[in-house]
Amino acid sequence: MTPPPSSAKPCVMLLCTTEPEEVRESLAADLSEAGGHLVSAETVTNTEELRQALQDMEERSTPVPVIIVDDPLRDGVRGGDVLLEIHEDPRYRASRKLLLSEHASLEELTRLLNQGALNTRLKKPCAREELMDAVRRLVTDYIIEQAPGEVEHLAEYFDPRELSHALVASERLRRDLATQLRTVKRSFLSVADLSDMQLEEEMIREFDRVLDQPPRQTFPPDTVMFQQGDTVDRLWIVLDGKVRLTRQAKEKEVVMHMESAGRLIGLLALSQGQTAFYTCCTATELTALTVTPEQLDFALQTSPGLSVYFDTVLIRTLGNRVRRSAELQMEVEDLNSALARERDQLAETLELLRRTQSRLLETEKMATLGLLSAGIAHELNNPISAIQRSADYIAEDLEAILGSCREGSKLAEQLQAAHDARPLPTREERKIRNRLADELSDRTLARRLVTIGIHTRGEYEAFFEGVPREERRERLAMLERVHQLGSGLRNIRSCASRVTGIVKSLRSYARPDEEGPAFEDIHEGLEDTLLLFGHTLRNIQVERRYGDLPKVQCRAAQLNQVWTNLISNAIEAMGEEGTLTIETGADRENEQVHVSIIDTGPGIPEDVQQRIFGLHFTTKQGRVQFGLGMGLSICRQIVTRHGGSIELDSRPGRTCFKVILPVRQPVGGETARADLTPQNPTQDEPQARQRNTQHGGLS
Amino acid sequence: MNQVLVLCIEDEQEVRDAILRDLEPFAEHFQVEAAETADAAREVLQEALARKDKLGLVLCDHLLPGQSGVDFLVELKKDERTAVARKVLITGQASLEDTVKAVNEAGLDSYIAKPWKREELQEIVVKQLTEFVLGNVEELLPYVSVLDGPRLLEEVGRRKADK
Amino acid sequence: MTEPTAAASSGGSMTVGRMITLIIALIAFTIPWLINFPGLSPEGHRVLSVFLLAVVLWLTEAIPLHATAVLIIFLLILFISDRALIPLPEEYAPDAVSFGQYFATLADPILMLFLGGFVLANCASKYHLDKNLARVVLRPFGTSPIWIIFGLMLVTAVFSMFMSNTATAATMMAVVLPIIRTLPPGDRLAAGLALSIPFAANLGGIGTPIGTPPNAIAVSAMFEAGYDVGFFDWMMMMLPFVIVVMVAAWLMIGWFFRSDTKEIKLQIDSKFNLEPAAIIFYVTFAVTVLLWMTEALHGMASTMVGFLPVVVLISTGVFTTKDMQSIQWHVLWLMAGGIALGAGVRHSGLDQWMIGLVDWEQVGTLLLVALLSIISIILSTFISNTATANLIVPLGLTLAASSGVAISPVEAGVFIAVSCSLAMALPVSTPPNAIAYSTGVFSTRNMMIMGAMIGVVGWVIFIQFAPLVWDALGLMPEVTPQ
Repeated sequence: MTPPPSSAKPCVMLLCTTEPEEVRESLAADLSEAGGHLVSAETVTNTEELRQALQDMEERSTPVPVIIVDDPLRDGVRGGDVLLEIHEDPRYRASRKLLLSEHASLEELTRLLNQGALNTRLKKPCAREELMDAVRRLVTDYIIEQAPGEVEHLAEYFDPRELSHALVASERLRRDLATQLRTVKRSFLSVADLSDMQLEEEMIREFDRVLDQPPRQTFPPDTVMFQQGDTVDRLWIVLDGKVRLTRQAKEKEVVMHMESAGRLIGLLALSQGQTAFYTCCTATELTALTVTPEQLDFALQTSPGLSVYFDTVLIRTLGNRVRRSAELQMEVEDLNSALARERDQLAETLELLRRTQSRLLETEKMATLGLLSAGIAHELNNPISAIQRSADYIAEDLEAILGSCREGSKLAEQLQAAHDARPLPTREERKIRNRLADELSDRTLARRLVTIGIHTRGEYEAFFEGVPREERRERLAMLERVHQLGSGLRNIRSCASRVTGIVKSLRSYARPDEEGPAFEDIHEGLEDTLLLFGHTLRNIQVERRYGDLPKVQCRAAQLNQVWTNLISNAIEAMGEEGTLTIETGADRENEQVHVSIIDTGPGIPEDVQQRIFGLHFTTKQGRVQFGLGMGLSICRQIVTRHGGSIELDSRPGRTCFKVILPVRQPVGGETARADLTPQNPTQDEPQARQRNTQHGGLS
Repeated sequence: MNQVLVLCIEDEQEVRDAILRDLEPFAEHFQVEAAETADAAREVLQEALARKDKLGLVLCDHLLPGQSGVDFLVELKKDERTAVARKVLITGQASLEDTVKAVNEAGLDSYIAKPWKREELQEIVVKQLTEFVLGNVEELLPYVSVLDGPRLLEEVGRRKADK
Repeated sequence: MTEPTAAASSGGSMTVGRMITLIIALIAFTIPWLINFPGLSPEGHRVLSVFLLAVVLWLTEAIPLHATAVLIIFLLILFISDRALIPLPEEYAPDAVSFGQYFATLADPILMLFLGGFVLANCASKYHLDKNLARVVLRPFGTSPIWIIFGLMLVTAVFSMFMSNTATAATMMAVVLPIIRTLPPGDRLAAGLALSIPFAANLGGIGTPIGTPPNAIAVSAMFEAGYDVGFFDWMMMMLPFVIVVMVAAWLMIGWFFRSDTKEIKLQIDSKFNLEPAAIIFYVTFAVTVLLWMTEALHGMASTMVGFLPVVVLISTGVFTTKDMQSIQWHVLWLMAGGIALGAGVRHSGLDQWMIGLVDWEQVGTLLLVALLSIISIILSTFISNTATANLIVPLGLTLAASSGVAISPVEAGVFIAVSCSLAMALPVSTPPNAIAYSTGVFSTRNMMIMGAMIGVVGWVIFIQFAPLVWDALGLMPEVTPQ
């Protein structure tokens, strides 16, 4: 057959793609080139056109060796589905099918492959060369299969390696196939009864005979005979010993066959274009017979018997291997499901851990805070004592110095007065100042006078009686200085004592007090606390309904914290205005007292009521409010430690926190335990009740 | 009459005392007032505005009982009578967020962190009051001795000629 | 006194004191309408009422000074111009001055001279020429306190000849204040440094016609009276004595405020603005000053030269519209009010009549001069120098022109102008004093002592000694026929 003119090639390959026209045209040209003088290329853009084109080819009885489908096509049509659909049609089953896709799921590929509807899949974007190579191969395949007679004509166009196979194949075909088949059939039947061992021995004998004792090779154990991907140019027939066939997985070498390797080594390589599929390594000392493909070919051609033995051994070996593969697959499946189970378990554990960790973190925060405060408290004690002592000494020394001055007594008096004065709220001071300014019609003087505690014109005149006018200014300046000394000392002292207080409460919070609880007047603590709130309570009516209370054994400072918290919550709830009621009372036996702090705020929503004693920091305006506003969880802890309980009763317009405290602490009771162990609030309550009953039992 | 008000808002009496003493050099030329809370400050402000005084500078703590310092400053910014007043936050506890709010919404002019040094506070007060006086007061001479004299005098030189 | 008090300037609020002042002003205004003064023309009566009103208002500053000035112009137009609302009696009517002439006082040539000064001063301040020059000029004076004071006074005086005394004093105080702040507290030198500035500014102001408004008012009145005193003439007459008084003041301050401080560290890094606009200004400034000094060579009147920087700087865009708004127009209008009042007084013969009340031939020349200058000094110590000049100059010049008086109108004008500038004993006397006082570096006492001493020395030199020299050297300008 002479090559047909290129303009009228006998076959057409079809390309279905959504690429723009220029690209399509250039692709078609390339593909035509790849198709040699046998196959031209046409392009279509969608499935409709593809079907139409196939129909046309059918009518013109032009074979379609290759169908290339792009993926995805327009309107979301999947290339794979198109190929499947075409493959359904028996007329096009033989056409080689190429899928060009960017992404492909393993599933889809499996499905196509299993259906045989896919011959090649190229990943987009792919190089022109790659595509053309693939097409050439497919065309070659197609022609070898469908039109072996044309093979010689392909020689100048196609892959020479493929061609040699093709030639061998065609040569073999040219022989009397029918005779061969008959022989083979017969042979197969005759060998079916033989055991593997016998069969193999027969085969080896036959090889020895035909090839005239080919050389025996001996390999020590653990010798790598060939590596995956190596070019293998011979076949080993194992006489004695074992090999390991392994394949490189992503991370490690996987042993695929050991027992199932069989006696023919290099089999797959020979069948797959001489590239080794496995890495082969001897497991024991190995003796093998080496056969080159040429020898094999020769032997098989020379001895039809050998060919039968060889084929049988081949098939059995492959069968073993397939079985082994299936087993492996099963193992993998089992392993996978086991893994999945483990993974679920792990996830569960992780979640659990995470929850535990966040709980721990809270605990840790508390613990760290405790440790930190204890540390800070300790560190602060020294400087603060020094400050306090120094203030005392400065006061003493000043008095001494003033005593030796002219008019020192008056100055000392002023110093004392400044020291003892209760600072006025700014608005009152302003009022007094404005009034005095009007009386004296001198703002500056009035300001200075009010600062040093002179509030009326009368006082001013009395104060400066007998002091000559020109000396007054100097005198006033002196007094101001003395006054500032006095108030400075007062501020140092009051601040120092505040710091001391903070330090103390930090320490008492952080670790158990050494001393036990003392009997204290609850009302005193309440009053102290109210005093602290001072101006915050300005617009809030405070109603005190104090009952007769016995002294209660408690840690006053800690209880003050409770009052502080409850009252500040109440004030916050009421906002600008409202009535704060503080109600106290004792039970008939004088064994328990209760303190209720009631506000007229909007009430606490039910869902919040559930959580309100929860252990958490309240962070107001971005800072952790320490001491104050530490939250109700602290209140509850303190009260619980005192063997008492807090009850909440809230509705719009009236929210009542009722603190119930035993008058006497249970022996060895909870107040002695002020450790850092965070207490889960939900567990606190039953404990508290238990303690209450315990306590009740004791008294 | 027509004095410039310097308002200090600080709830802790000792700290207030300290600030006021640091502000003492300004007391002769400015009306220095103190308040514990934003409410009290508003009262002072009402009185001052009624006297036709101008609010020149607010030194404000952030954490106050009731309305926060930053919120109060924002409120001042919104009132056109006090919008031009210089605003200084003097606090140890304002978070970044609060401070950003103060800068963005109240036009905060300065931030003094507690504990502060007297020189630092006075320097900031001088700077802020000078700015205020330059922009809002006609008669600059009374402030030359207490504020940034050279700057004020230069402005006087620009504004004046012989009569 | 030159600064309106805070109360007066703070606008609409009506205090009791102000009400009373206004009532007094109104009464003063009505007196000449009710009482017939023999020998005074009807027109004279009307001007007298305006004059009395001006006296009360300028003395008390019940309304801003320049408000009084425009009120004067308005009242003069209403009562004695050719368009008077209440027409003058028949026989005076043809003689009446055109109302436009009173309006024209708002653009009197001398005001143009001043306007030029203002434009130059504003630009100087804009490009910091004043500050930079001050620093450059101070550099050669080293670090010795006494020489630094000298340098400061020299720079201040020179600046205040061409710029407003107030602006000069403010700028220079801004330069000096940082120096003062480096001195140890209680160092007397601080007071010396601070005091040297206003005194130098006040004295320097005497040096040129545009140094301070009273000079200009005097020059303007002299011109009306037929004496054309040019820029250079004035400087020739005044400058030598300004230098003498300045040296005296320097020595006094240096001695009085001597201290242990031997060295002063100056922060004098100057950086001249060199952008094209600034350079245009520098050139204009130099040319203008040069032309002023050389009037005799080119014959261009100083008032014409004064308009040169206005034209050049505005047309080159160096002096912007915004800058124009910052010109102290009220100062110009205050002067215009004075010029209008002077014209009214002269035209109506009020001056002749008032001077005729006293037999001046009985008063000795010395006493007469003393009277004029001392009244001026006392008045201007408490009220605006310009207002003082506005009131006294017309009378003084007429007095000098009247027969039997031994001083020339030029001398009279100069005496009054100088006297106004010599009044510097109180912080309220001049704006430079007020500026220096505002730094709080010295006490009122310091200023009073130094101010009074310099005033006395200045008075002796300018009023008693200078005329002898002028006469001897023939510096007094002759009458130029109008």
